[in-house]
Amino acid sequence: MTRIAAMPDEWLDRSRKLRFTFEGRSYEGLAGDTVASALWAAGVHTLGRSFKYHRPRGLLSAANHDINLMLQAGPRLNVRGDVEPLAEGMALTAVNTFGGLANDRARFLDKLSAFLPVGFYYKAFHNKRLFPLWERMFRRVTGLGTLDFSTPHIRTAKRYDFCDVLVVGAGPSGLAAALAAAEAGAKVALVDENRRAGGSGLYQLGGSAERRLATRRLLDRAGAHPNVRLFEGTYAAAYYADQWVPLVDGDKLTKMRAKAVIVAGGAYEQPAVFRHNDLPGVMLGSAMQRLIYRHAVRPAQRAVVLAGNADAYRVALDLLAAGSEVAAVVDLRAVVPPAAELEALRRRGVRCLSGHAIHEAHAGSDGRVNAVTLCRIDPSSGQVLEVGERIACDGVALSTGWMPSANLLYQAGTQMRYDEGVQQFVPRSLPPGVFACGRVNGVYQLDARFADGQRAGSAAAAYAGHGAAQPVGVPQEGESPSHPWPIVAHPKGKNFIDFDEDLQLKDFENAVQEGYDNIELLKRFTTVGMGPSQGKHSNMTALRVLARLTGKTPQQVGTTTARPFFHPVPLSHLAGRGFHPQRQTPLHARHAALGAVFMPAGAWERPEYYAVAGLSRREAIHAEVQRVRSRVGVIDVGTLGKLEVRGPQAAEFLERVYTGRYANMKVGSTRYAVMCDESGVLADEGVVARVADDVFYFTTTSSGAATVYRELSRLNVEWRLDCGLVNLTGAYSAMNLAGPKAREVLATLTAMDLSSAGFPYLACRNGEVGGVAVRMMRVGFVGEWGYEIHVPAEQGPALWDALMAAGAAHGIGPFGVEAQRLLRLEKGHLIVGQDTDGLTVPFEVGMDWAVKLDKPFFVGQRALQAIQRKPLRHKLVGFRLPAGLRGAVPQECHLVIEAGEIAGRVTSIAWSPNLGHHIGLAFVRPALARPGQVIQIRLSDGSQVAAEVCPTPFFDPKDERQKDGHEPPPARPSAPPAQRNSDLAKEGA
Amino acid sequence: MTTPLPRTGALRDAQQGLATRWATLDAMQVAAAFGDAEAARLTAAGIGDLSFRRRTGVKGRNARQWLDALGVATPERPNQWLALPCGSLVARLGDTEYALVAGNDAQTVTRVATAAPTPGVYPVPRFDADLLLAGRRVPELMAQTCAFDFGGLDAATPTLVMTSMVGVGVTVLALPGADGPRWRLWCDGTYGGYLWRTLTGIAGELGGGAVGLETLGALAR
Repeated sequence: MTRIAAMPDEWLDRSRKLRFTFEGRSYEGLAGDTVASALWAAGVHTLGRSFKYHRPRGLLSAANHDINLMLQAGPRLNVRGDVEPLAEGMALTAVNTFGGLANDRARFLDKLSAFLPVGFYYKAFHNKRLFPLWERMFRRVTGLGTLDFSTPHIRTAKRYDFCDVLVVGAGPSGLAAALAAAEAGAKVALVDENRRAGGSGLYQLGGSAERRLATRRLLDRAGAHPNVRLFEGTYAAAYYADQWVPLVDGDKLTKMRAKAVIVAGGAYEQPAVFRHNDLPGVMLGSAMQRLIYRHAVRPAQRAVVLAGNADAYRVALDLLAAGSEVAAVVDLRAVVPPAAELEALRRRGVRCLSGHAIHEAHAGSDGRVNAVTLCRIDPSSGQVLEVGERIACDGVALSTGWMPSANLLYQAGTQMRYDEGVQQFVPRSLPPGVFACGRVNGVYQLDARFADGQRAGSAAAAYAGHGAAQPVGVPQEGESPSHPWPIVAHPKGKNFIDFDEDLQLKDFENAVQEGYDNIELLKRFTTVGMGPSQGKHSNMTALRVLARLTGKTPQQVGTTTARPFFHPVPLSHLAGRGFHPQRQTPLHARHAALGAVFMPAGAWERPEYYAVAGLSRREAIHAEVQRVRSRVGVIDVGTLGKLEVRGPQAAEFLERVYTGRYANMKVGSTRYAVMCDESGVLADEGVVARVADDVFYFTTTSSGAATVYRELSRLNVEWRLDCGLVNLTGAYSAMNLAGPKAREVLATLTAMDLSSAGFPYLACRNGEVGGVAVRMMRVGFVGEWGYEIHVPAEQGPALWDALMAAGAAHGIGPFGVEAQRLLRLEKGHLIVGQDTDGLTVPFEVGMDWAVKLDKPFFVGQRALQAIQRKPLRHKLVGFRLPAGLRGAVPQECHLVIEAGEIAGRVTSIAWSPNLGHHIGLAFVRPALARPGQVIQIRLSDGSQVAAEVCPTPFFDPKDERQKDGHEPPPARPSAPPAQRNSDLAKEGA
Repeated sequence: MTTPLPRTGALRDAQQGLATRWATLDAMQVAAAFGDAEAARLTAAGIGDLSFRRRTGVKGRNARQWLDALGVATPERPNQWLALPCGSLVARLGDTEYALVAGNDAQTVTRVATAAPTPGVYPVPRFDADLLLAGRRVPELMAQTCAFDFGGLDAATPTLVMTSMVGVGVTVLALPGADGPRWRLWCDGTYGGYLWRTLTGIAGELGGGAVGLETLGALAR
């Protein structure tokens, strides 16, 4: 047991013991432990297996980057044991084993490493014959964890938040920055990915309480400051434009919008490279310090510290404070700068070597490090001059350098430069609103970090509008915190650079030799930095190796792109709660009560048809069609866009917007309207009604309402005409009463003159129906005597009820979108968006009559004038299939084929119960557009069906049904012959 | 027929099956209660339906003078609202656009809605869902549903915000209250059911939810 006496800022609650299992064995830890600290305290040091060679691995960083310590915890997979809080009853297993951690059957791969060189994956797949073999093998041996598909769905909230200054990182510099900004009056959000704030100020102590106390004072002040909100256990996952930062905690993702962002994320300590630097017990110095001060765990009984900077000496002192023996401090540098820590160690009898490195680490029978072999090195080249003594130890601390946690700075567009003085990249120029301080800024000494934080906090607050940036002197670094070459070559390799992907030094040498001598190419070929830790412990070393192999400086080599996210974000957080707006007309409940089967139509929910017991979908639709043709039906058309333009120049406005003429319309009349875009493409259509000299009410397609209103509003502003546009889409309900009995039904509810003379076809009237003020238009979209009735939305349901009651004696019933589609197809009416596409111009769909090119101006006019002079590419025509056709029937989007070439496509097709055969619309080449022309339509199975081009309307071609005296024919329900792939293929849906 | 037909509110369908008592106000059925524990829901994040209030709108370059001539005062600046002595609210939605929502006395709104427009005045009939949000967890509800920083508003100033909430365009009024700000929230009535279901669902996770008129009491005035 290596648990030590209580530490002043430890995370533990020693009164609560937690029981858990790891690899089937039971252990006990304390509340506040991580899984790793509890296991280490219990004497368990092999915690996982490496990804490629299945080598035993222990703790490396204890900082959320230990990808060899990923665990399965029930349904949760790839839980990072180095930071995962221990919980009562946890049952944990290592993810990357075959048969368990101790007896992993894949551990033999370590012996085969010579046959698995860099780029092995790519080379394996070069052989097509062996491709399937490799694919199966790789799929079997890769992939971490077991996905439990029965895991309950987790609903995670997404939320928005706001602050003046966001400080990322609550270590010494972040705390100082937050306080400085808060004291300037800024509202500050301070986030730290650790469960507790304070950062390295509470664990990198060098055995001294002063550093801890200074940080603690700052932390207490920040915690108590009314302008500071502290978010612990929360990481800033990315940086997006305009200081937009997603914050991820255990439960949710918060979209934080800040006026200024300070990146005080610190630095990742980097492993040194020597043979067997991955043995359990070899870990970063900062990891040992975390174990000591956060979890009161002694990392080793007898440790060797590999040094390359001043931090190493503090690690050694902290180990002594934890009761460890420090066998030696081995410094890569030829000359160690004088320091109080060095003297303190010497006074306590710790052996300190300079110009030396670890040549190799050795494992005991339990797999844990039990000794190291030292070597003397050439300080300038790093080359091994002499292999020296062997020192027994059960722990090795690596303290040779750092890499700035600059991911967010890169994402923000910061220009970085390599600073030889501190051997790392530091910001050269920061984008507006983005600030950096502390280690990420190349500032390492504690007092300097406090000062740098104050500087950044003051500047960020000023940027956010609070006070003025205060000049703060930041002391220069006395020595480099990072060694430029913490790498020792070894003829037998196994000196790892990337612990995610088991990449050794020789892998980089081989890759460069094969020509992958650019940092981006090297990354992709070796996969360095592409594992779960995303290069946080390997990219800097890889960069140093590449620089040396290619004779460049680190600045010349550069870095790879830092993309969001900085750290893995659970998919549950990303998915979060989704918002999908649904729009319902005021009549929605009426439809539902009548058995409507709803379909999405843009944002709207519309009745596709009304289910009837005993009838199939097709039969129900055909019954609705027949009801409209023979009696009377009513459809909710409240989804139509409904606009009003009012003012002296309202007619002029419509003249410019639509292709037709509207200035000459009489009050009380309606006119079909076609709208084009600037390129002459048919954009929308509707009906314009003139309700007064200076008032026009007009409709748009359901899906186009919002777009049309937005565009017309823009044009109205641009043209400055004396008229105003009002969107009434949501304010009005509308229904279309259609059928031979429509007039009789309506007559029972209104005193209006409904005679053909008083209310002729295509007329518009204001009046009252059932006591409600209405606007009514006589329209014929479905080819029957019909009234489109528009009423204030809150009175729509009442009017619907009144119509249904009044029509009961005439057999009234509702009809849905599918019936309407069929009815209008019988009339040959197109639907914009279904029978047109993003390139269709009016001339191609027979709307030449609706385009008045001789007007002074309308949107799309110039384009249409040019298009008119050119031959058409295709034309929309009606077609019909033979009445007795059996077998498969074309569907919408099936192609028209001529001489083996595509000559068009079907846009609409349906069985017409009134005509007794299939009818449809299709785009065809102009040469095929003559009535009587036979066209071939190719079905999905490749077979072809012949169809005959015919004129439209298919039904009631002379519009007799809009005239008085027309007697509806008896219903002649006619079912299509048995067929496959019918137009109503959703039968039974 | 001369008898006016009943009015149906934008949220009537969404509340069908949820309301446990109904009342009729101004020819419209209104949810009087949504079961038990309404007081607790109102304390946390209560959502009430005020869609029965009469409302209308007007826009155009002469709209302000027209309203003035009708005796209706208007806010000085866009994105502000004003309470009239009769209890109605006048919201200034833009440079030249206004919305009026009645209080207990609908006469002013009715007068405006039926007055003939003059040149440069364009009536805007409205069919809004009209919600009232109150409770200590409403800020969290809004943080989860809207990207606007309502925390930055001063409820003591008559501010209104036009923004997007759960994908729907909304107009939000901050109202001062003795126990914290309350919010009136309007949206196109055809989106009302969706907005109601979404907000009450999230409010439910926060300990709140639908609150009927009986419990809203004075808040609904």
